[in-house]
Amino acid sequence: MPFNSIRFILFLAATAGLYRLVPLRARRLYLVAASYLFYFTWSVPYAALLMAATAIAYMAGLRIAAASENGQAVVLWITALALIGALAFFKCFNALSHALAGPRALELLAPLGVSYYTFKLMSYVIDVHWQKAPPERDLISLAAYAAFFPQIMSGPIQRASDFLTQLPGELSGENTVAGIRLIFFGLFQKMVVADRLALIVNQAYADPRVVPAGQLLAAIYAFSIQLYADFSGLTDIAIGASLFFGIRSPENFNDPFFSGSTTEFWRRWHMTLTSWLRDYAFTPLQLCWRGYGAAGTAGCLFLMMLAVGAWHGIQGHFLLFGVFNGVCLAASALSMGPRDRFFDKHRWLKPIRVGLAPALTFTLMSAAFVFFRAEDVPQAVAIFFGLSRKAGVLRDLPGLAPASLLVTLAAIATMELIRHRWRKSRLSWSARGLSGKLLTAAYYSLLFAFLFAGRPLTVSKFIYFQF
Amino acid sequence: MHSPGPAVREFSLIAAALLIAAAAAEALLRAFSPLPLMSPAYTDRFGDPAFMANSQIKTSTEDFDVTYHTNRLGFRGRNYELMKKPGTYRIVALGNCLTFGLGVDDLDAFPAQLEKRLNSDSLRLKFEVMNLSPIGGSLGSQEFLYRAVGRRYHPDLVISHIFFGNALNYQYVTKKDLVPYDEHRLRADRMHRLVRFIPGYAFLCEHSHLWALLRLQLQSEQDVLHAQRWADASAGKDSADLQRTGIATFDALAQRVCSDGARLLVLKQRGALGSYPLFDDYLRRKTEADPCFLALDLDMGPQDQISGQDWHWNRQGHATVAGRLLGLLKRTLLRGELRP
Repeated sequence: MPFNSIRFILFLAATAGLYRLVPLRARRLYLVAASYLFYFTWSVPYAALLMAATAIAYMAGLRIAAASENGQAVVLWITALALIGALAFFKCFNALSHALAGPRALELLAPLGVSYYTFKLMSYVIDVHWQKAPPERDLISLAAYAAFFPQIMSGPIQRASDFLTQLPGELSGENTVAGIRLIFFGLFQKMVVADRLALIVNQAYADPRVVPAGQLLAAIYAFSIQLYADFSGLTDIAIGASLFFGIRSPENFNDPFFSGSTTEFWRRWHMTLTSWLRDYAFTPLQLCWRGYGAAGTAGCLFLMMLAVGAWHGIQGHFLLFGVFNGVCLAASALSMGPRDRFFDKHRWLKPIRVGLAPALTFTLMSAAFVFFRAEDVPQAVAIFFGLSRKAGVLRDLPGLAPASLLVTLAAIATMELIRHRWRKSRLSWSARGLSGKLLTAAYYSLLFAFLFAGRPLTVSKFIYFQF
Repeated sequence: MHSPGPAVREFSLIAAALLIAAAAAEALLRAFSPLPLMSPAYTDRFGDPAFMANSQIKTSTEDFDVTYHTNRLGFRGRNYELMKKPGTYRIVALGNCLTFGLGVDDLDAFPAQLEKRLNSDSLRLKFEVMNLSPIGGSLGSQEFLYRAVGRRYHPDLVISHIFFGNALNYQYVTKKDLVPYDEHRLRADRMHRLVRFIPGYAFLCEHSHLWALLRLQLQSEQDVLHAQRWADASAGKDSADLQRTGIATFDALAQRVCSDGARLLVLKQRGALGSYPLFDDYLRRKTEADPCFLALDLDMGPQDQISGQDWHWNRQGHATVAGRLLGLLKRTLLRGELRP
């Protein structure tokens, strides 16, 4: 049941409508039932795995609270082994199977949202161990947290304490209105911006050995924006759907393409994953390696980005995606001091630094995303080698015809305008008064006009559904 | 005064925005990217285009320029009374786009020509030839359309036109209910059939570029899903499997026609049968052994193949097929009823 389907919208409307009729004390149970019903539409057997993971985390939380210090560590490691072990098994199985058996390899479908609910449950157990959060004694609440259907497929990865303290969510007309606006904005980002850019990207990646360099370059940059629109659209739908149940989900993006460095980029991109890794992997590791100074920090950053790559999959191109980012972040950390000193000495160069840094960061990240988008390492290499080819003429290509390109650029500009101007307040302006009504009507009219006439004929899946 | 809640206010603004956006999109499309307007068609039970009842559908392609007229059932041709009058000999033509007469005028399709020629040669009977063929019709659609519509008109003869371009494929032939479908497509098609009841549907089809675009988008999504499902359904199955299912479908049609007391005339495009030896053999044995059956092979050269050099829109081919059918009926079933 993808988020851009009528079925999902109907499911959401029905479950959110009924939620309002359910007595307060039964709402947690209702959320669990609705979330598992949603999961059953994808797979019944794998729902058992989600239940088992929840039960393990629940037991671990209670045990940790009751155990001695040594006992706590043992429970934590056993839980991590079970939860991360299951995640690693599903992430690695297909790649290892193909490596060992070639074309006769067995393929295993990874459970829906396994990366997300594993990280959510792990954060809960670690928080209990670190005494940052109390153990949850109500299994139903923890089950609602792990299985909450707007977040199960692709996050955001919300922390347990943040979620559980909101249960049962506060229902209000304002939340519903903000939810509706976010969902339509998410659909616009995905079905107009991302799907239009996919026209340019898909053709270049289909056969990078013959595509002219100019088109490859356009595809490399276009994919960064496509991925952003696709993923932030998905996140906005998830955040909007959560609001229907009175749950405020954390943000995942903060204008990442305006970042002045790769380090800053990763603080503003997929924020719930990177903050998870920062809190539970990077910071503890950095404490261990603090004696090594900047080199230690660089090493930690490198390992963290490698973990980001591996979180997406252990195939070579995802690992290279992590390595590429790790090198960028490590280099950025190591050179930060000398760079700052240089620009302090030459103050007149500072405006150039401020102007060029985002463009350079965008280019570096677009290059990194080539490894992300490619189906394997040779394809990524072919893309980079293709850039040395003759530029070629960009005409008669889907998505690059002048009129089509104009619509795409207008859609990107609209997306950025809305994100920059209203998105930070979750589009929660009031529609009272003439100006509020006009703004609301203009907002929807613009989105609907794009959704009606600006959608391409081919619809693609959400990129982040696969993780 | 009581003011509406934020959600109610929001929904009324959404409704207003929908109208504004639709008007803006329509204007932009007309100005910058006009689309070919679509006929008031919908997708039928078989996933093929079907036309609305009592419609006039103008079709313009690179190859032909034709206007189709549909009767109150949505099939091509004139209306027929449900109750057959005494002295009437009724024929039902089941088939495909060739039987429908894609690309030729209403009166040039071979069922219409056959009706005209039978009546002009008739000594006493009145002849009616009902064309119940959808574009893209298959064995599955023939079986269904006879069961659902044809038999209610009490035909004396049923023509089953078998052209193997689409008579046998996994899209059309399944074991369940002899109708080709995966669940997803069935739901989509149900929706397509429903939309024709939207007030102003035909007007939208004939005048709105935005509507044409939305239909293209919907169709494109369905095509992608359908291609995937079809590939999945066909995976691992061989031609023999398909032919056996086709035989079961055709058998169901034949049994029903014969038990209704009508005769079944199989019109075979023989040139297309080569890839289906099992089915071909089955048809040959059936037509030789069963007195309910008649067969006419269309294999005598390009002039009697509707799908010859000129593909669908071969007016001469339709005339030849009507002539050969007339000749066969004069020699067999209607001997003595028609002028020699």
